[in-house]
Amino acid sequence: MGDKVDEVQEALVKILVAEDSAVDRMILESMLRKGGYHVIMAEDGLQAVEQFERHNPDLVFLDVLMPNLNGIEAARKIREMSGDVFTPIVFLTSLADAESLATCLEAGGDDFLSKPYNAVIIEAKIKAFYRMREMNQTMIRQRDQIELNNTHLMQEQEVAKQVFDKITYAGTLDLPIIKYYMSALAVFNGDVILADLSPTGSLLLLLGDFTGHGLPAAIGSMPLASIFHGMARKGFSIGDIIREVNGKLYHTLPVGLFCCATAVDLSFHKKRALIWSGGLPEGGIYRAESRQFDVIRSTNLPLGVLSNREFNHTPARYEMAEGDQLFLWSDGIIEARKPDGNMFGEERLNAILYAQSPVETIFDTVLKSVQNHIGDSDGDDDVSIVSLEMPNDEVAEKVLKSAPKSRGSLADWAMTLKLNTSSLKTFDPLPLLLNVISEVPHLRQSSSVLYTVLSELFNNAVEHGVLGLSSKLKSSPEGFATYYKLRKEGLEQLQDGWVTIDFEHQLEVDGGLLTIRFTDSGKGFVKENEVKKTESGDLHPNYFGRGLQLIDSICERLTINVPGNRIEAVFRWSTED
Amino acid sequence: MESVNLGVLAELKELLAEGFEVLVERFILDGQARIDKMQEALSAGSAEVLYAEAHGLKGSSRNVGANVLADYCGQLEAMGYAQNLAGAEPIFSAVVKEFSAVCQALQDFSAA
Repeated sequence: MGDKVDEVQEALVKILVAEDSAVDRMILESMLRKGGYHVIMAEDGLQAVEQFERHNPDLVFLDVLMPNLNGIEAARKIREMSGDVFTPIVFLTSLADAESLATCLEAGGDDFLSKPYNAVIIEAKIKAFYRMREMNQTMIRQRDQIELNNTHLMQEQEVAKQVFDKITYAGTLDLPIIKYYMSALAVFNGDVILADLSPTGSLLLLLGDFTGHGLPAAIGSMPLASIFHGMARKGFSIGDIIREVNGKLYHTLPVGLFCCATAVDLSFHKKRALIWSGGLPEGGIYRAESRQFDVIRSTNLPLGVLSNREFNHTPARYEMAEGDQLFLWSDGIIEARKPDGNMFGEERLNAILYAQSPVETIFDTVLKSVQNHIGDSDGDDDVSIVSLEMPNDEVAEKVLKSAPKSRGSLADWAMTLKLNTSSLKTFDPLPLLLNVISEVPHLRQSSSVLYTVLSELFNNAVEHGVLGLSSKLKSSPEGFATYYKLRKEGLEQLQDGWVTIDFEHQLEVDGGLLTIRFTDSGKGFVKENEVKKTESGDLHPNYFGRGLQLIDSICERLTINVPGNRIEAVFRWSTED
Repeated sequence: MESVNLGVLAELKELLAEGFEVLVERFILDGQARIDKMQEALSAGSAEVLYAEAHGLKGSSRNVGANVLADYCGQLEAMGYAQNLAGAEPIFSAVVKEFSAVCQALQDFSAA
């Protein structure tokens, strides 16, 4: 009906007045209009409720004693309709008895206004209540916003958690030889436990604890987990994995964010554990037979602190007898607090570890004891604890059935690279060759040694083979200069020449065999009728120059054909530690 | 004591301007209706009706500055609330008398 008027008056403060006495109604209405308010009138309680519904006023003045629906009932209905929104209700009354006033308040009244009406007092009350209403509306808006943000945050965390769980999936944590506990808060406090079987027949396990709290702390565990699982399943050694993780974290994490971790390679048939430990509290091996606890101290800085150049990824070796259990925990276990702030502490932990209890009871005793200590306080509860048992052969065999076969990595393979004239002039094949080699788990560790071998053989093939330079030139300093000058000119003027590089690789038990063969287009450097030959018709080792002698010492076998344009080096590697 | 506080009336006249006459008219009609109802309530011994009507007239009286009338109404209101109408008759007579004095004063002020 009065839509246009309503629009104009939208900006005004809207006040509903319900009063059955015509005189009082007239006076109050006039006062309010003069004060610049948009006034809506009602003559009884029923009208008041109707008008409230229609106009949604900012403030309500209600007479108490009204026909049809009295003020008390009207107030209750109005409160109900307002819901969350605060609509101040002021009772118009000169009721004097405390009981009636109390009834007004119970019904949802906020204040009283007595007769005779006073314009100044009315103005003061309206202003005060309008401010309250505005604050209330602001609060409700903010609450709704917070609620919305919170919902949003929860959704994000849920998605993050799903991604996180996919990447840091427990791997093989459900094996019977592993016991672990991570408190609910631990994941998002940066704790991570990873385990995976290696095609080499080892179980790899890592307990990590990133610095910081919340999502930022958890983020680092994604690259950590993806590298760990990816490399473990390809058969890389624990040292290689730790080194790769360290490099990744060092380059990606901000300063001050790093990962305390202990990484373990438990070999079932070698009955030993290789353990690298950086920054976590002391763990140890609980010996099944002697019931002694051998402490494993952290000997390295946490992951992500040092660059790989300064980083030592060599694990220490520990013998593991059947039934021995390795225990690792994050500092959450030591710092676990009672409601009164008292920490669990190393003393309580050591009391359990040195009590000579049977090995099977240790994990549960430690966990229960920590949980009892914390009690109901869910304060800084990020407890992670894991134990790993050396199984007997029967169990070991079962466990290893689920181990991956080497598939994702180079195992048995061969390749040939032929460099023709133009490539010989400009291309250095060594980075490419090393890249290929480092795809073979464990062989990567030998890449610096293999670099020496490959560079010696390549230079040998180019200089003495393709270019036919004599190594005798290098016997004097001047000769050196001449030698390199000739080498440079020779390559520039080279019309026709080539070098072929053959690789053959075979996996063996606990290792492998890499055969490297360099063949060149040269005539060779020995004359057929002058040489001593080995039984197989190859060149006798006496003819090796200094470089070849070095290679001979590195490789298992080095053979040079007659007249010397094909050299074969056989390199054997082993995972034996 | 004056039946009506003239200062209050002056303020009301300023607030309502030409509406003041209407206000006086309504006070008289409304008041008379309430007095009639009080009379019936007293005859019927209905404390509740007496309470409500006396309360209503008391409020309006205060608003127009008729404080003596308001005080008498307040006494009847209290009796009605207490459900004890003994001694209400003489006060009601005083209310009737004072009401007509107030009406006269209002009309005089309005005409002035």
